[in-house]
Amino acid sequence: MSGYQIADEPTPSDVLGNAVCSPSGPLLATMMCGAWLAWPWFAFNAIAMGSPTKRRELAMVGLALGGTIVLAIVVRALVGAGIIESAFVLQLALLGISAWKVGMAYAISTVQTRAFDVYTLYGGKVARAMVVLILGQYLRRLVLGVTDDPIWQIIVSGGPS
Amino acid sequence: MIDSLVDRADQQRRARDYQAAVQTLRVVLASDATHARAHATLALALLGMRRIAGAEAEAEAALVADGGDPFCHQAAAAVRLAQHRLAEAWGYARVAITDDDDPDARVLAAAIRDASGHRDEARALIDEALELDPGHLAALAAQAGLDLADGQLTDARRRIAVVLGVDPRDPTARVIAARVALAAGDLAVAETHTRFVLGFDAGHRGALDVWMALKAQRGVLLGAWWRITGFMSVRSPRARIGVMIGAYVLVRIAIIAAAALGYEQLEDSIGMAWLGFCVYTWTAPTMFRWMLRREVQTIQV
Repeated sequence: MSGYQIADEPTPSDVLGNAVCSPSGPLLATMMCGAWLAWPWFAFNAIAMGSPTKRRELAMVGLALGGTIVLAIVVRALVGAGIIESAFVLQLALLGISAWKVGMAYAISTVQTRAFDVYTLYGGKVARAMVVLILGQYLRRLVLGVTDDPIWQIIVSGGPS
Repeated sequence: MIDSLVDRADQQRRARDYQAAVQTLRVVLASDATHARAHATLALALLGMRRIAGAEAEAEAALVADGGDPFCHQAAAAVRLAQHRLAEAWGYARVAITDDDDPDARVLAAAIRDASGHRDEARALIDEALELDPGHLAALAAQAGLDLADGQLTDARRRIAVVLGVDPRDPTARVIAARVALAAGDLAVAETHTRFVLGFDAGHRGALDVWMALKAQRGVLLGAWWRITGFMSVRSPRARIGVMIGAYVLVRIAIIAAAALGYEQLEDSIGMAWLGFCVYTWTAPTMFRWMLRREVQTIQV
């Protein structure tokens, strides 16, 4: 990719370029390990790949995290105020948060995949995501067990969990 | 020197050697980043590679470099057509067809008008293109497509045969020929044309649509499977996200409701079915590509 740079072409980092993974890695991490791994992984991938949509991807990661925090606080406040009383309604509210996280993960993965396709077109190196996913599975309980605070649990847990 | 390189890149693009065209134009733009025609040609080459974001940026750069050049407007119109932004595409195309000698601009404008439901205007534009160049292959292919849409199978077949006689590798003409054969009930011929296109470009949307229609005609269950898998594999990312999230929310609500009503077995069954659906959708695009490759291995030219 020497000479003129086309707007959709990534500019991989010299140091981090070897650690670029397919965006399906962090997407799977959302479901298997939790958002604690998926959001930072998406952000790392965007930076390491030098994605042309890096700012957009990082903004989406920020929005996903910020939105999850706000939704978690709102649900906790509604429970505290006695507005959400039954377990059934609480489960539906948590489902809303969970759908938000999975939806955002899919959306970020879709944007990042476009840059990743061009990255691989020009022979960019791709690291194996499976190692990170296995490590993430192992560390999942440790991260979730940092505190019993429900807001923490909601923020760092995965989509379906 | 630079203009001759741009001409060469345009020839490479027309020969569908998009990678080579991009490389040639990269050299041009490295020495002159404000060359409007180079940006516009690059936009069209990137469109051929389905790199829509890159093509959009290049078309914008072309218009900034020379906002009065009809060819730059043609590139912008092609990008907007690929993005299905038809009103904007038509706005650019109207400037593009002010070039009195360009049949390509008229063929593109016809495609935009046809996609907007104005088939008569599309036909008039194709007629203009053929007046400028009676042997213009893209115009003949487009005319065959319009004939097919009007149910004039004989005319469509005759015109597309002329195009394929000159350029048997033209994927657009092959897909139209496949559609004509499909409409005439000649499934074997339709399949031959479709296999040819998919053998070179397994992601060609028009060819995939014909392929799925062929499968559906040959068997209800097989057709349904191909259509579902095709939907999960070749639809727009936004549509796929919508399906995934919609299905996820529905299933979770069903599980929560089943648990609340005391149907524990139903809850488990829904959970298992959902797991199966997740595995299926995850592997569907890979399976689809694998099956397609397997099916088009035997290309008949």
